[in-house]
Amino acid sequence: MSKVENLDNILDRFGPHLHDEPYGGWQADRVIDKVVSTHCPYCAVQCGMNLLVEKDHVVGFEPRYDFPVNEGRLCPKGVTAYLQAHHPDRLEYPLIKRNGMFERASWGEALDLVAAKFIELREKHGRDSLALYSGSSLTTEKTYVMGKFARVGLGTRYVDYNGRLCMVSAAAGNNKAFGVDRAANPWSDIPLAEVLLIGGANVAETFPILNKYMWQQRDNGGVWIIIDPRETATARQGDLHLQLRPGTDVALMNGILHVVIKESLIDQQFIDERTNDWTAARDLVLEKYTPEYCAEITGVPAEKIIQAARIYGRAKTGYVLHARGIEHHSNGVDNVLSYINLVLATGKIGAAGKGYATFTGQGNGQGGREHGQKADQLPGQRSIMNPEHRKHICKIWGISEDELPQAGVSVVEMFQKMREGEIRGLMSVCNNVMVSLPDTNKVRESLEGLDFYVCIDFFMSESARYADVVLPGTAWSEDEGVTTSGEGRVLKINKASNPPGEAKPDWWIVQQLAKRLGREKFFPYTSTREMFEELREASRGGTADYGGISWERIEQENGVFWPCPTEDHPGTPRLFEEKFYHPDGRAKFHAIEYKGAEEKPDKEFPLILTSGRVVFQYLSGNQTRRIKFLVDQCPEPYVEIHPATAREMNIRDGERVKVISRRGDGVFPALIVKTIRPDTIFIPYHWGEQLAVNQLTNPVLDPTSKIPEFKACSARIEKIHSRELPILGQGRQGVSQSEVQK
Amino acid sequence: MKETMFIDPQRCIGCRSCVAACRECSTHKGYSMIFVDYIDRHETTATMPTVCMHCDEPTCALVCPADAIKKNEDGVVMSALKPRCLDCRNCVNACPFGVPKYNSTMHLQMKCDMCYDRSSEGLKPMCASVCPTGAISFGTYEQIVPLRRTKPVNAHVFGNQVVETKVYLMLPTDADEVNIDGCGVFEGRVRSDGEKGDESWLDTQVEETGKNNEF
Amino acid sequence: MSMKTVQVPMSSEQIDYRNPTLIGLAASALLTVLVIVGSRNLEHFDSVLFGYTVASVVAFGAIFFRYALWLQRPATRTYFLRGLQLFFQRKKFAANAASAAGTVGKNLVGQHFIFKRGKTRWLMHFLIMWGCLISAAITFPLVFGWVHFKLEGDMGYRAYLFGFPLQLMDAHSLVAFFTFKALNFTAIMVLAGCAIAIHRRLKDRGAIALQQFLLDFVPHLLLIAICVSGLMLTVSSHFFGGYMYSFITLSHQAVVIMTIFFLPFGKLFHIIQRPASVGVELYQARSKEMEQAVCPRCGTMFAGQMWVDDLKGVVRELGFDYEMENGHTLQDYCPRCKRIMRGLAYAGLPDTKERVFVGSRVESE
Repeated sequence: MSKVENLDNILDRFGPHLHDEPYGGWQADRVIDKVVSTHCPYCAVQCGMNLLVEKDHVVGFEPRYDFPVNEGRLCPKGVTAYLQAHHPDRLEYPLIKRNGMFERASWGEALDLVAAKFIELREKHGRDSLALYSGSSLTTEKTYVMGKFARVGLGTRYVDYNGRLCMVSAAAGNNKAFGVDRAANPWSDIPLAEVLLIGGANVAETFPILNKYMWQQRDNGGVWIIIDPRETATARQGDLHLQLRPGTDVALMNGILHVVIKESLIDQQFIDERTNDWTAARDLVLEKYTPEYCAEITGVPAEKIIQAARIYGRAKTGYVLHARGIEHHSNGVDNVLSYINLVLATGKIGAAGKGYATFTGQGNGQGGREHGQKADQLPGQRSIMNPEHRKHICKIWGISEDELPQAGVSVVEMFQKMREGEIRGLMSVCNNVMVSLPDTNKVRESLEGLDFYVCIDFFMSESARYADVVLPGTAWSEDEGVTTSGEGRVLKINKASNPPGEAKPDWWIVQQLAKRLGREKFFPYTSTREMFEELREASRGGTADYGGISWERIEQENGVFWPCPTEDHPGTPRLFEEKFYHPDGRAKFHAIEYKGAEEKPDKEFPLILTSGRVVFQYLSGNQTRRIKFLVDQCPEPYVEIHPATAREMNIRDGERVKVISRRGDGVFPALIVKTIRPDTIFIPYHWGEQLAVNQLTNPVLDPTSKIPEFKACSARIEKIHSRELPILGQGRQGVSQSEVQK
Repeated sequence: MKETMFIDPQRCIGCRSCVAACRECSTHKGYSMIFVDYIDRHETTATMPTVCMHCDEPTCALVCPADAIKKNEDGVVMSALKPRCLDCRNCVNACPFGVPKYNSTMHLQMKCDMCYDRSSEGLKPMCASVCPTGAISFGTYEQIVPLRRTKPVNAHVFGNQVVETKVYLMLPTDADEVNIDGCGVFEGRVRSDGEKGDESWLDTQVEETGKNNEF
Repeated sequence: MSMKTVQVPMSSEQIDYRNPTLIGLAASALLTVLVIVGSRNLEHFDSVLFGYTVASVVAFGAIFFRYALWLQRPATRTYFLRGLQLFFQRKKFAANAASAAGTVGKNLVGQHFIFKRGKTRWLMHFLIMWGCLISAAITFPLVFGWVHFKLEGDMGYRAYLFGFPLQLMDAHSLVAFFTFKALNFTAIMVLAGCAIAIHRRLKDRGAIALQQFLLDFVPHLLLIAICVSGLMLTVSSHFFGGYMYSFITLSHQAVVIMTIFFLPFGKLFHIIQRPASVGVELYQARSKEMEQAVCPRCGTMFAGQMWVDDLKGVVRELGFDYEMENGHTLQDYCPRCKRIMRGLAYAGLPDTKERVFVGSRVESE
């Protein structure tokens, strides 16, 4: 039975409604009480911005020219971010679902219910029948408290966070190769590099502000090599575009490394002095991965592979960057390691202009994956499997070691366990599984099978509709705390206004629940600052050491790069200048065989479907799909098809077509463009339910990082023979643009 | 004002940050006066940002029957004076760059005025403040030009007409002038059936939601 | 660089001052005659108001001079002549008159468009406009001797218009009260309106950036000066037994005359100009019904063909030559296509260093 019975009622009450005005409308004569320096709530570039506050309402923004990363620049999401603070869809009081309808409840009533249900489930089915699924758009303090709450408050092993769907392959790859998970160089190294090699990253749309550094590098005479199945704006602007078949990154990188070795462009001294396991990697690549062989696999002409190898290999400096395009694969970690092999072989790491990094996605994607809300992790990038690490954290938390649960499982596996009945109760904070997890239909099944589901959010997300209790949390401008940007810079988010209605900070909610679960003494916080101080201690001595970072230092120094063990330590913008983080201080090569995506195109499903993002929406769209300006620019997902493919099927531009995979199907308007490979189709993913590309994607996981394969599955397109569906863009013909009033 | 704008379409990534931020300026609060158009989405992701170029001899001002459009001492061509504008829309259709916007119910034309509330106080206009790539920059000639490899030009050729402007366009180093003569197609583009208007729906979508030159 | 040169559009030397001057003089003469006739050979003319009359006669001429000068702008003349032509089309005359009346009601009386620009702005404008119009309707006929009152014993006052008697009015009636005190009420209206306007001009950051003292503050200050000095006349005569009455009268006269002379210039000219929107609206409505111009690039109908043709004429007359190689004129294209054409022209520029508009795709096309 569906848990969402009154969808119309929910949509009517909680949206998404399109809203496009600051509080009180557009006014040029406001009296601004205070200007709050803070950062954007969205991606991991964490652009600085100033919020304008009038009578406890955020009513506008002003560029923060003095913040060195963005110098006032913002993408359209950042520009409109402040509009979410007083959006009419904001959840203002707790909701309890009774007879399929959300009814207003008091905090006491709602929290009592949640606690009672948790206790009941725990008694009936054991501690591990509960799960907590968190997110990385929370401040680091909150992510720390979420991890602690799962283990100490709920006592469950099942906790995970949505970075699992983001860059976790990069994290795993980095840990394997370098022994640490952080961008090796700050963004400011980009302009110093002669060559940028960017793989699977649509920088133009997903990290617009980093284009600043890229164009600075260009102005310095630099060159870009872009690896992407689509000719994105970044790929178009680049000097060399390797338009590979999705999922074949290992073959491409091995091919490039092959040429680099053959042409003696490696840095033998660096390899000898600072790395291990070179021979195995070298032998494999030399033996098998000739440019011609790789060209066949990847669809990239051999000459271009050779050209790329020469450009990167011959340059004195270079910066390798990658993002979800190579990470969202069932062999995501392999992809990452094959990139790292190239970096290490040429010795282009650990110095100015010699860099390597992943573009972390979420605002606090870095901070959120460091302090223990990951299934197998404890604060400070410590491992829950390591007895030493367990001991340290148990001491800080004041619990005995056997009280601390063992490692849990990744989110996709967690949802599998819900369907299997092992997990009966779920608490979710700061995520939207109905949009973001692969295979939406299975996810729906998991949510509907739960005995109890409580969701904390500040908008009614597609997932929250399935909840039994929805608790209203705060937007980013209503609480303070730190985040860590994609380059490892710890930053401070500042509070601009109070939350609307009865909404409360997420940590307050968790604290209240802990109290009702009899675990009050472990959560004695009265302010975010106390959590930060505890977190500092917890991280001390770990890899991600925040020990020397204070809120004051962050404000004074425009952020501090971890590791920063002591107050007088300057922070570490560039890692690996002297050593890598494995015990012997060396980096590791890995011999990587090409496996490719799990599903390969066949007769029934001849196309490769890849998914991605548009610049106007952020992740699951729960925030951005409510802001009219952003929705106007991209109101619904579409499917990009190459004209050759479209011609075969007689598909017209704007026509709605059915896209089918082994897991489901969806109807999307066709966008016929020459900027995509003929064997590939692309659908942006920010929408839920019938508009979700994740109805089609493959939930197969990478064995190490447990990341799902969003970026490659097999699919086919069918023409819909129905006249009822409108063709986009038709009807425009003959209509006078400037005369017609809507 | 020594500063002016430098438009470098090569760098535009089509994010429309400028379009959103434009609404924050006090002289046209809530209304965006800037355009970012796909030049041909079938063929390319390239986009063209258009702000007012602030002509030395503004066609819009000269075709205004009400004499409502004024160029000030800084060379900035202002929005129509509110008491005068008769909503005749001559400027909208005469401007060689397709810049002015109008609103019939308000009987009003508005256009990009280089965020005069900001630029007159030495602040960057909103579009130039937020533009991620520097496709739209604001500064003095001496500040901007040494940083770039592109060549600043402040004249456009439209058929037989040369239009000189306060705002600079950054041309590739191999080019000397930009010549708009005939409607143009994207390089390599073969029109399928010679039919007019075979644009991608995404090209026109923004126009529909942005109501073209209507604000 | 190209051989093409910038052509200088219509410069100030080409402006013809002769005809406007003659028209202005004729208008002044006409008003003088009307004053003489309307006051029955100055029989009802109050010589104290002579200064006002002279100022009005001069300003009246100046307004016509300015209007005639304005009509010399190619765009204005085209709109004006085409508007008249359309209005007097035989078959459409009744419909035109009706729609013009509608426009007058909606735009000039109700000021719907200002309401859309802002509600406070509308209130401000409503107060100032009606305050000024009613005051003018009362004072000018009195000044010109077109209207005068006679006391008829205990019965009350009888008003005379151009010397013809009108209805008798009870001196103690409400009507009489409002008639004789009207200027006080209108002064308060104008003051309230100016207060709103000035408040906005001091608070609104957009207005602060754009406003100029002479253009935007002086008219308000003049109106305020008129209202205050006018109200002081009432105060002086009613409460202070005429204390400093003649001085206030003189000051009042001075500011009123300054304002009248200001009328043809700056901000206040819109009062004379705005009725032209009736013609513009008619022009737009008619052109919407006629054949539409089709953008040669995207095929969209974006404006009436008549309008586009007129506009092209105006642009040419101004000295621009936007004709293109393909025979079209730039103004034949819709605004969006002009932007895209510029983008396409830019994308087609030779660039050996950075081919940023055409990526290197897999297939060679």
